[in-house]
Amino acid sequence: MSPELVEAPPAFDPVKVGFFRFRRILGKVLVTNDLGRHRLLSEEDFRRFAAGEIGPDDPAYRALCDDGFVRDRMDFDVLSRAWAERHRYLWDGPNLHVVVVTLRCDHRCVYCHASSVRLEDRSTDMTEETARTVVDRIFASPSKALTIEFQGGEPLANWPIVRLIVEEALERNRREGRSLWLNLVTNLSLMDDEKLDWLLERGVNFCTSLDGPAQLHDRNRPRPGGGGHAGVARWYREIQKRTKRRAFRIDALLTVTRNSLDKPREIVDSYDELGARSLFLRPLNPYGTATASWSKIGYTPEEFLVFYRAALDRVLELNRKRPRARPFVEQTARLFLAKILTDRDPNFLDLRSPCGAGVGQLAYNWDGAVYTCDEGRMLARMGDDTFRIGSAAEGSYEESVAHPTVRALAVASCLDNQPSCSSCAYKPYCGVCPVQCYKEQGDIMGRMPTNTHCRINMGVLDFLFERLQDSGNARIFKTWLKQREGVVGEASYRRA
Amino acid sequence: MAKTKTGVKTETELELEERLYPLEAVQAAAYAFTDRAYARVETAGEGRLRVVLAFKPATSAAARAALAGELRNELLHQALRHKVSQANQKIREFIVTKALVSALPASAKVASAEEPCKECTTGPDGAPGSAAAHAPLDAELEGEIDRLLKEIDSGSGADDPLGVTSSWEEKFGPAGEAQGDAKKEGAA
Repeated sequence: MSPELVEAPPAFDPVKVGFFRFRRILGKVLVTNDLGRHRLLSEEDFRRFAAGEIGPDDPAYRALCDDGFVRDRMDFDVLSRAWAERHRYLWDGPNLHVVVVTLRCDHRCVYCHASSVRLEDRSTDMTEETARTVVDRIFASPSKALTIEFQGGEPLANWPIVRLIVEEALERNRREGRSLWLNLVTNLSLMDDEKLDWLLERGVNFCTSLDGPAQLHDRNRPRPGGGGHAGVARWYREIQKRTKRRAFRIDALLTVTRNSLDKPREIVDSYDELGARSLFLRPLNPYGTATASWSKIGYTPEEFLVFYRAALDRVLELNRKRPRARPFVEQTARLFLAKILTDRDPNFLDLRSPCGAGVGQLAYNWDGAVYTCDEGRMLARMGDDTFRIGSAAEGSYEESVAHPTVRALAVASCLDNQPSCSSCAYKPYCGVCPVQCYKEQGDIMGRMPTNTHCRINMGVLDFLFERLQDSGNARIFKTWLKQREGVVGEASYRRA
Repeated sequence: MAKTKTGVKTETELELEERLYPLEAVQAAAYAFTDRAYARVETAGEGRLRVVLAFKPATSAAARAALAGELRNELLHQALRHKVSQANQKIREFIVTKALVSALPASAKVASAEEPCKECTTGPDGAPGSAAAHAPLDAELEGEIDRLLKEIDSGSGADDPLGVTSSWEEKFGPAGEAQGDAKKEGAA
């Protein structure tokens, strides 16, 4: 049988038409460019646009010119300023510093990405000496804004070290005057009034895990002796009440397991009933216990997307019932929408090019070992030290950030170097995680056609652009962007 | 076209004119199918390329038929993407360079980085002059240039076995004679 021959590609005018990427969505064609500006065109308008047939008399012409899609009508000053604003993180240096003060934890989560140890095992507690060297290393970063994020295990299990680092950091910052954020990622089970008073007095933010209704939460996040959900709900309400008019606050994220997939509505409603301002729907990642239990709790990207679409639709439904001044936000969508609808990048480290590994964040393990990122230290816990770039006790900050591994990850996560990403319409809004590529596909460069992260991001973005075509949804999405960002540090919504 | 013993097609393939579908576009299109098929790109004679997708096991008959159609569409998309990218490469480099330069201290900037290259303002067929060529000098490079300039000023380039510092006239005599010789050769 002779092979079929295909016809020529569509017409393109190289003089009139500026750079664009494109993707078909619900019968329309989305065009985007390097600035992240976008237009949804009908098939016929897209054909005319590519052929350079849309001229000054066309209603769409002015907007296409303003957004840099018309080659012979470009304002280079405006466009380069927009590009610089969107990529301002390139000049910042590491601003997120994840500090693992212990791996001890009183929960036994079915997906624990950190591979925690039992509460009575103190072998992974950070010492005072290590804590002081970590603070020194954090303040060696040139970034004008620093976010110190306490992780674990459960950081409250090593309370003296949390206190020490908070006090040292605040004292140091009185002299240096940087924008300092302190975030505690906690399951709240070891919280008490005394600790809470102390943390609130020092402006510490809170990020906790809440996987939905009590039965689901306690199934995903079992706690010996029970009461996991009740404890989170109690302290969540208390902190929310006490931070109501303060500059810092509490947020929660949920990790979606197979147990969650048929409960999108119940999960969203449980957050609404708690009076939450937002929820953050996060897929499972291939680290720690989640790897071993994947056959029981894992799912395909497509299954996650079915769940996500139903959950986001429920969130939109609740927003229609709420006053516009009190929106209910889904954070994954908000991060993407900020990139789609504004020129300002929220600097979420998993969604930028290059990713934040070593250049936007550093992770300090309980023993002082420095890793490129939180994912790197999670992998180290699984016996693979590939992403270790030094120690807070030895060497220097410069040696860590100039480490060959940091350079390799920056190259691998620069989307212009990725065969599929470089021509993808979603490139200005997306990012790759080279550590996850390495873990799942054996290569930091990854292969996007079979990449889990890519499939999920593509599916979420497809859905957002579908929903953006409805003016009512678009209005709701825009109210989300007016909410104060940087709750738990925009950069620091990590896996609890 | 490869088939199984039962006559089921195991591959789909297309032949393309490289004039219309550059190799880069064909490779990109084939790569996009690596989740569903094993892809191969090969030459198919002068100026022609062949892309072959071997179906992965458990691909249904309907999915196989769909893959063949999707391949055709993807080739069209990638060919267009390739054209758009080629035509706009320098203008994109210029915008990014300008943005990056704007973040540097004034002392590190060079005037040329503030001006668009000729191609950026005249179109892709204009004279060469990539914006990337106007990248700012870093301190190390500036130091190296200063060193070389001092070396030239100090006359340390006197050791010149190839005579590259000598003028045309010094080597071959008056300019008129040399040009005349060249014209003669050209006319011969």
